[in-house]
Amino acid sequence: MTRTLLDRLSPAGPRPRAARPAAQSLADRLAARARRKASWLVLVLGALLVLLAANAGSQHARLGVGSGTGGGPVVSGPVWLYCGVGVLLALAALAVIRTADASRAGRARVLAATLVVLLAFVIGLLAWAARSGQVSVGGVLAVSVGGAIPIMLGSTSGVLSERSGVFNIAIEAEFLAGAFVGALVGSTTHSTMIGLLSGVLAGGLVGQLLAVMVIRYRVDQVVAGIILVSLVTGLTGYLTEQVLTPDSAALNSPPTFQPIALPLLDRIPVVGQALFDQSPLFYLAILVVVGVEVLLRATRVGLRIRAVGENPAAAESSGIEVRRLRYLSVAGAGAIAGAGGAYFTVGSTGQFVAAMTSGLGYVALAAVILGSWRATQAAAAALLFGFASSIATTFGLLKVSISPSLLLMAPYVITIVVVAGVTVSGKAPAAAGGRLDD
Amino acid sequence: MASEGGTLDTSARGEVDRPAPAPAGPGPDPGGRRARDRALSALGGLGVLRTKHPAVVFVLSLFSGLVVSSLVLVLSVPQLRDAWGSVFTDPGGAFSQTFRFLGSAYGALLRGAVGDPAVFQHAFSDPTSANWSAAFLPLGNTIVSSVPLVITALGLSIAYRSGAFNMGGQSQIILGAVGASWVGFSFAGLPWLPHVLLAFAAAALGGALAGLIPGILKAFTGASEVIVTIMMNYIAADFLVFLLSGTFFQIQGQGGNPVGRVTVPSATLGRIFGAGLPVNAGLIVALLVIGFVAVLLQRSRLGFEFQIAGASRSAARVAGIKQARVYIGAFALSGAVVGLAGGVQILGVTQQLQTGFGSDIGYLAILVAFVGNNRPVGVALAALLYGALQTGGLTMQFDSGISYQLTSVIQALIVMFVTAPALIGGIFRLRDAGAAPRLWARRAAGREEG
Repeated sequence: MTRTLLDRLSPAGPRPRAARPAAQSLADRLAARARRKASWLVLVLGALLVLLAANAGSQHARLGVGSGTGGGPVVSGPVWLYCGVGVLLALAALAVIRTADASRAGRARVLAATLVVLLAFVIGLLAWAARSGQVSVGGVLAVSVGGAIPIMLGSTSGVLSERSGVFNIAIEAEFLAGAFVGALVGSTTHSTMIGLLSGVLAGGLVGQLLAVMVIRYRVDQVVAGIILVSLVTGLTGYLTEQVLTPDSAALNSPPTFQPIALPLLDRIPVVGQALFDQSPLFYLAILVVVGVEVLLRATRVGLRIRAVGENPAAAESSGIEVRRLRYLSVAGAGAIAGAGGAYFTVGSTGQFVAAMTSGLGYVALAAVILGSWRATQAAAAALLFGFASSIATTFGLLKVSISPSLLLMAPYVITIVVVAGVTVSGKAPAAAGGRLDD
Repeated sequence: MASEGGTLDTSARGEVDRPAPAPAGPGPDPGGRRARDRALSALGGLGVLRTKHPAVVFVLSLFSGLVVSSLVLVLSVPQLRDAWGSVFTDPGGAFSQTFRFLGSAYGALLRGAVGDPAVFQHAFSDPTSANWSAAFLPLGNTIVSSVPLVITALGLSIAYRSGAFNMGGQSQIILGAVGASWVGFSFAGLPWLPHVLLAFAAAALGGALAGLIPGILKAFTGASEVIVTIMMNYIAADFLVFLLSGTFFQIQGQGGNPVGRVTVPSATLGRIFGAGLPVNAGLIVALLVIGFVAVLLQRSRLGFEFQIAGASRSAARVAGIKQARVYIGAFALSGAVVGLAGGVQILGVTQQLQTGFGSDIGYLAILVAFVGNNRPVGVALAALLYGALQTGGLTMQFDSGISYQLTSVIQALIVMFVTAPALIGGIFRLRDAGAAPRLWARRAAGREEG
């Protein structure tokens, strides 16, 4: 790193590099790397905003900032204005990031600055997409949050399982099992609740199967996950064609959850509809995310699970039942992902279609990485992926002249960028991956 | 993603549960001793059937897979469910109905995959070439569906043996097919051989490009290749739709119909066993690929370096093998070989691109590579089995109304049992074979063909 203009602009003044001790602590180095990556991200977003402004500068865009899809105040302005504000914010964020230190407050500042720029980028992007037209920011957010529900549950599942030392690539399988069983049972019992519960059970069963394969029979974790995905994909595909389709009205048309509006809160501008007028599964997801976070970080069991994931041998020798904890964590993670799977059927469309999860289980794994194996951060990352996966819907409504098949790539491309850009070694649970040998 | 150390550092932890090495075989002792040893080992040859020898595990896995899928079948067919509902009043009926049904379903599977004895008899009694073609048609179909599987699975196993989880078969097939198709419908004036070779070169280039992206990301940023390659599959599928919705690749005058242009005759792979059998020159490509991969992995310095890196990172470091080079090289080679499968499908079977191209082959080939233990011959046999299931499944659907998808259940079950030899060993009470190779090449690559 060389001294830059930003270094000199920063309030703390240029940092005395020569005076720094030769050997930095691990925390310092990790913080420095996180800063570097955050600045790159902010730079790229800023540059993209400049491009967007150059592309559609003087056209006017109207952004609805009411609480819902219709009504509410509308902000109108040329696209360059939205983008320009974003660029300025990006420059300010760069300065903030460069001056942050390795302390907790410093890291929080880096995160906050990055998030602000991300939000500014999203608004700039929406303004560009809505040029000479109107888009409701609240509506777009609501669609994004809806799309993020399964990813949130999937990433929470991934966090729980990987913290216990089992790399859970079978989230996709758990999604499919939850979606299929949820649709089938929901249709036969005419109950969304029973459908959801049986979806949870189905996901838990797949998780249990994964646990048996990797813990008892010591199949390589990635191999076991891939095999389970192909098994569940084949099984649900077969049963759909053989059993559900011939009697679709009775077996594959479950009732669906309707959104529940929390009084008053759903009137909050911009975010009201997105956060407080959602499917009950969204509130469930929030509860699960918070629950897993508390479990892992504030309870004795959670401490043990983390110990098992970091150093099973040491945990074993201190009297922790490693295998039992892993079975419980992986099966519990499966159940959580099963709820995410149920969202696909009883939560939204109401009908099971073969391979309908379209890789979102793997996207959830990327959210786990982006969230540094913490449930709440991973859920926040899932919201970003939710935006990416609903971008095709949104832009499709706005008649943006980009081929829909290119827009459909968005969540996958972003996943690759995230996985390539955010991987920080030393953060993943040390024992996850490979074979279990304890 | 899982810590890199955990996923790839295979040096120490894989060793713990490894069975003790076999007692040494009959040594060069004189006379009677050797004869006695020989007699003993002949007896021991029967004992092999009760050990976790890979072949034994494989056969038992096939059996277990069929048993479990029969259960699925019984549960999913209404008349059988009804028969079993009244099992206490009419047990004989339940059993006989079940066996009749399973017999007809699996019989159709076998007829579609290998051949119908009745048609063979007819060919013997009236040996015309048309009759023989009809008799061998199922086998021909099996070979046609095995060819892309074996090429793809061998391509993938290059990566697996190098310690890189390449799950991106589909993306590499698609880009390979795009390359082959482009050359295939473009240079109309070329003679046959140069045209086909050029098309295959384009296919390999396309596949290698798709493989290079995860390889380079893995080497330079440490991005998990599992996630990146799976994402590449979805991206490539959407990219194909994008290409087919443009005017360059789309067939002319078809409006919005997403079907690619047809390859010109000078770039097609002809049928090699006469017009009656669908087997095309792709079979030759598959055999060449088997030879190439066998030589690469077992006789070449490059393949040796790949496998050292796959078996143990620390050993590779000591030997001066650059991990980044291995990732990039293995992924590029792997992708190039997989791309050839796309070429074979385009030039030999479909003749044009279509949406959803390669999705089934890409995922199935992963299972084939696992079942074949990443060894050239094993993979070829596994590909034959899986190809047979693919073709037989169609006949089964046609004859007995069981959905074609049941075969994918069977295929997944088989690989599940094969990769967990301890499970099969537990069910069938098998002993540890002396030097039973572990089914995970990247763990066991150090003890090559011991």
